[in-house]
Amino acid sequence: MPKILLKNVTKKFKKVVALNNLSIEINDGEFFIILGPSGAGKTTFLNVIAGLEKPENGEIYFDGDLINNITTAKRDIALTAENYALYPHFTVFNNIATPLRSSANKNRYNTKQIREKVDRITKMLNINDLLGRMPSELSGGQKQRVALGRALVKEPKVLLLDEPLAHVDAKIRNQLRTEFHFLKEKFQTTTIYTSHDYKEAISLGDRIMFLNKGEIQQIGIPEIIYNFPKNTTVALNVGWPEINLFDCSVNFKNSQLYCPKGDFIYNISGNVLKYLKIYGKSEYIVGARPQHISFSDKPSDIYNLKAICGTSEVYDNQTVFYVKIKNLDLTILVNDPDLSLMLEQELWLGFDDQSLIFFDKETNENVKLKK
Amino acid sequence: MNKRKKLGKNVFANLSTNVILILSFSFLLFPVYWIFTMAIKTNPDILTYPPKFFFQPTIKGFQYILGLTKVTGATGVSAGVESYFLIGIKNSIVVVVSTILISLAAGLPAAYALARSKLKSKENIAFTILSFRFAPPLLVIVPLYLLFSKIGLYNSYFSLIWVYQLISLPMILWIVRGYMEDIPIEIEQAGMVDGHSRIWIFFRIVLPLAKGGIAAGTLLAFIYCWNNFLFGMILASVNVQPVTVQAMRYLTPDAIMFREVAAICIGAALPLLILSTFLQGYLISGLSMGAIRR
Repeated sequence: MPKILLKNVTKKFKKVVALNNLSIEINDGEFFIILGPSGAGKTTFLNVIAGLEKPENGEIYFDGDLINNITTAKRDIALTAENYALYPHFTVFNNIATPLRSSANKNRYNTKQIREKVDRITKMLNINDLLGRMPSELSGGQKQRVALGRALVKEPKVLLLDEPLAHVDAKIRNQLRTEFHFLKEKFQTTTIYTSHDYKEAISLGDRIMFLNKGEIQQIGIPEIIYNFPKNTTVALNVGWPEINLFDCSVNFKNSQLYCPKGDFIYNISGNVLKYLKIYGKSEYIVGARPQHISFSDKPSDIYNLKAICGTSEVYDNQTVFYVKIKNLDLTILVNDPDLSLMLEQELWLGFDDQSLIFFDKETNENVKLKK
Repeated sequence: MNKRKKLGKNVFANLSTNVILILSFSFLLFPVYWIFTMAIKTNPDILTYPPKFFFQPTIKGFQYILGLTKVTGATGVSAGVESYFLIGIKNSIVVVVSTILISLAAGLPAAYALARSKLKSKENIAFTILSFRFAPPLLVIVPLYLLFSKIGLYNSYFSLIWVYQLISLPMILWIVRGYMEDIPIEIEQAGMVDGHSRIWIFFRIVLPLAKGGIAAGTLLAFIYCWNNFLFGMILASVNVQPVTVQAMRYLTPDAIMFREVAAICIGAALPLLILSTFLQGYLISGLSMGAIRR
């Protein structure tokens, strides 16, 4: 039985549609990630599940029970807000103990039990020595831990985390991300987690839902989202550096692909041609991940597209090159930090045509996923 | 060279700022100083021209308004003089404190409602309440007098407390509402998520976080109510009138007792001075800083 079920949920703010007709099942114990750019409706989605926003349309079920009219206090959920929303006038201890003191709680705890529970959670989150401090005396990472503690201490059925790693610095982010793996294994609570960072999503999620402008673009396990993006929006937002997209037309007779912007012709292999033939159209947008383009300094059968090198950026063990084929700008990622190319140097590129992703030019949808 | 020039400029800027400040403060505080000296002068000293800056001080004025002196009449019988000042202070405290308490009881929940409700007409409601302060009191005072006389409310604490709401309620409501709107909604939502009721959130989260606004609103409302003169004069008589009106008792048909009027002015201002000093600390509301990422 699905733990959370949304049926045709629509939420509008005046005329702006924040969630458009969402239907989705989230399984018991699943770590479910909502990925999307800012303004996609991620926070609204969490607020609707939490009962902080009432949807105009649609039904929400927990374990098969309709909960549309149940107040937030009685929903047995926990939510951490993007800005932490700690009670500024309470100490860390009181912040974390607040959910335990609620009258809506199933079992009333006495002072000793509350202390024990808070202790257990804070030890786990390594904030045990901060209990007497006020929120204003905490760093960003510590605040996030307190907010998490306040959510976890309640042992909720559903845990809603709104961009928990968005505003902590890089070092703490990696540390907390590792801890989320641990919490995920330890608590096995149904968790809905929003993020705009695809790496976070791919690393943590059991399943990912890509949301854009209030509409579900794609739901799937991380590998599917990365390798088979449903449309160009998903493709552009998942993967670093950003995927290269360019218009192409396919000539089925001589199994060639022509790109007008780069003014080049590329031979494609039989199996790719086959599924394009089944799809039946000849105009596509081609997606090539920067990882999947390789190059050589001499032309050959494989490397037969002449390009001019532009600027490059070196990362710890990778280099990103920005190159040009006539008017077509391409990004290439190479796993070699020492490789350096001259500006304006000539290169010969080759695509791995098995990893090219074809999108319908009119609908922007992935050809392979279209039935 | 350049640095020294800059330093000299700074000193000059500092000096001139201070001089301007001192001048403006002396200008503003001179009436207060003058009232104070009047309160400890003898009547002849008050009335001489040119005014006297050096004189023999006396505390008779204060003794008189506190009812500590006895007056010997023409027949040789001495009698204690009733202290209008103390009656006035008592009346002021009763009326103003009750007014403020009622305004807080009604105004704080109203401010919260008007800060958070999604009602379309909430701006209109808030504006209507503010508009109570637009009309000059003289406009309403005659009808109010007639009305209150008819229904037997003339000369009662209740009538003053009621009418003073016109002054204090809009002030408390508007100031506190601003502070409540500034409380991040996420903190209140966290309260709901943690399983608490609206009432709990109001008392345990909203009120403590709006403390600065409540202190500011209360203080301002208190000052305006305390200093009100017109309502007390028209709607009440001697046993109910606040201290501001009681000062008039010393404007007798025989003489204008400048010293006593000055003394009562000083006496009436003292509670406000004490209250402001006390509440000043609460006015600084850095409390919600830091709990929210900014």
